[in-house]
Amino acid sequence: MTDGELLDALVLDDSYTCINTISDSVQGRVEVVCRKSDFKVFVRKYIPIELANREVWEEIARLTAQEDSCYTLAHIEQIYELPNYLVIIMEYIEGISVESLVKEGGSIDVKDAVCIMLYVCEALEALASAKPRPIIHRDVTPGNVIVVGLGGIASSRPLRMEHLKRHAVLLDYGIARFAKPGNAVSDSSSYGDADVPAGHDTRVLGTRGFAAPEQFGFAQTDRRSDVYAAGRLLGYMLCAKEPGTQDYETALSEPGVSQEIAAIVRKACAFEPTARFQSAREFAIALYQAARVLGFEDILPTHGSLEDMHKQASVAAVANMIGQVANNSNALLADNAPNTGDISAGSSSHQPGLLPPAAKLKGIWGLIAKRLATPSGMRKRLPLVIRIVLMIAAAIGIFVFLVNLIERVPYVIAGGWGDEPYSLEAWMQGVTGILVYGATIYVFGTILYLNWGINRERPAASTLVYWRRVLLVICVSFALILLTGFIAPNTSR
Amino acid sequence: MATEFVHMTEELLEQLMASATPEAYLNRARADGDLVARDLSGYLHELLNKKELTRADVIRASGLNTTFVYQIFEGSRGVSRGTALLLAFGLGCTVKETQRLLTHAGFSQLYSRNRRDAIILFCLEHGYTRVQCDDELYRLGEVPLLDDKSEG
Repeated sequence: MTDGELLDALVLDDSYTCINTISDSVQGRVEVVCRKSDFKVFVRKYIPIELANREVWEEIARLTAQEDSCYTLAHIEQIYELPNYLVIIMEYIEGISVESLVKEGGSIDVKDAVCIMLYVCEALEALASAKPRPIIHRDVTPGNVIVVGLGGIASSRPLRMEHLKRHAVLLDYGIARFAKPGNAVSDSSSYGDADVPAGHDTRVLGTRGFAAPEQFGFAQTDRRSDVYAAGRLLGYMLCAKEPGTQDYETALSEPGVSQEIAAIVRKACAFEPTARFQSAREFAIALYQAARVLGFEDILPTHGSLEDMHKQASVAAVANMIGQVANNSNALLADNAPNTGDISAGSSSHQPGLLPPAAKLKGIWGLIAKRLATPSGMRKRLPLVIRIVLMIAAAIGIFVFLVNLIERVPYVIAGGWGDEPYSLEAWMQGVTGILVYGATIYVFGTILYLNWGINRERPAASTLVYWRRVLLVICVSFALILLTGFIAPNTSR
Repeated sequence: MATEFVHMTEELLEQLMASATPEAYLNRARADGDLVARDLSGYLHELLNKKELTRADVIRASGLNTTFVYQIFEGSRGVSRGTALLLAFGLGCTVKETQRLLTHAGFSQLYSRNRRDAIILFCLEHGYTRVQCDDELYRLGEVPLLDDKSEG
């Protein structure tokens, strides 16, 4: 670091005044500061340079700086370096940590707990969506989840967190790191990453009781480690007992705790990462499903990326219902009374997040129900050849129907071709044609969209991307139409 | 306040003379907060806030090396008496603040019976900059401040 750089950093550093030091340890110093220029309050973190992962912080800063960014992450204002510290200026979030909420008021109501968890899932999903490498938080604990908007009163329950964009914020990215490329298998010889080599994963532990087993050095951590910690957090909120203790296990099985949710907690906290939810997204979908069963789905937040997860949960629930109805009718047809009882008992105590009974259906209907019941993010993709054929067919379909659609537009607007007399019947046919062709193009567009991306694991989630692709195909078709018009100008009717 | 400080110190000295063991005095003095904690960086930050300066200003006004000043403010590096005086000029200290700064840094205060110290005291009192003070020292045949920072 040159003198000039240091001088610049010092000017930056001194443009904030320290109001209050929150913590000061070997892990670094955290203080509340005030910017002298506009008296805005921020949190300043001094992280010892050897513990800091500047790339991760910069990526989080980039994520939170976007316009439609995730509100459940703290916005990062500035990052600069001093000779022995990486300094982060981040948004000051006023609120109460889940930890103090539970310590002061005992367990949190299941509705609020699920709400908070959805916000946490949103934050984790945002971190995991970082490009090109997903970020793993590794320290999801009650102390790091801040519930905002309570007006500083912990006793103001119920928390009233419906539909707000921001009510819980995930903080402290101090030990976050990029996921290793490739599979999440422990491989101490892999140094493919610029940050900590795989063998060093145990260097900074998370918090006891919340950190996943692999964070203690059993294997490489990945996004499923965060799912584990999130599951533990949910369990902690529900039974107000430190996870990892015997009390916690017994409290979780008590009748006071909703067993639908307890099942989710257990699945999220499976020792083996493959047995957990594979992402925060799946976790959130399971929560939505459970909330639907428990009848409070309508109060849950559904903004931003949560909207998509909510939709997937609804689709799965509908498919689930179809499956149950079909199963019941099958059983009735077979006139097998005990079996019917079994199924209804099974459906009432069915565990959310697990495959619904639709999987029991036979033949092609079973396949379709299963595919519908699986959120699109988790679906296996069709074989490549079929996908390519589908995509080509869809593209041709869009082209053909677009030609027909465009042909009808001037007719409908003008009310008839030059030499043909106007008739209401013909006009109506034109309008119907436009509607039908439009709908067909939409269907073909969907097919195209779902199968787009040869190497992707799953289709991109945002509707924006979808419309962009459809628009692209329409534009190309349009260009082709114009081109054919130029080549053969005299082939009109 | 200067007289008050001296008076206080004299009072403490009397108490020390009167106590039977050093511990007896130390315990009482610690309880009353009469002992000066040697916290140079804390005092420097205090001055910085009071005078609404930035460390960059101090670096420019004192003529000291950037990294060096940063480390002094961090508390990761000690200072010599010469450096402490340069910092005092960099921070635009009054005589009283300079004496206190020297005490925090663990050095003897400026002494008016010492020729060089007397010149520096005069310069501080009259609000000279570091450059003006060095000119005075040079004119009167004393070692200028900037040449006297010997050790860090």
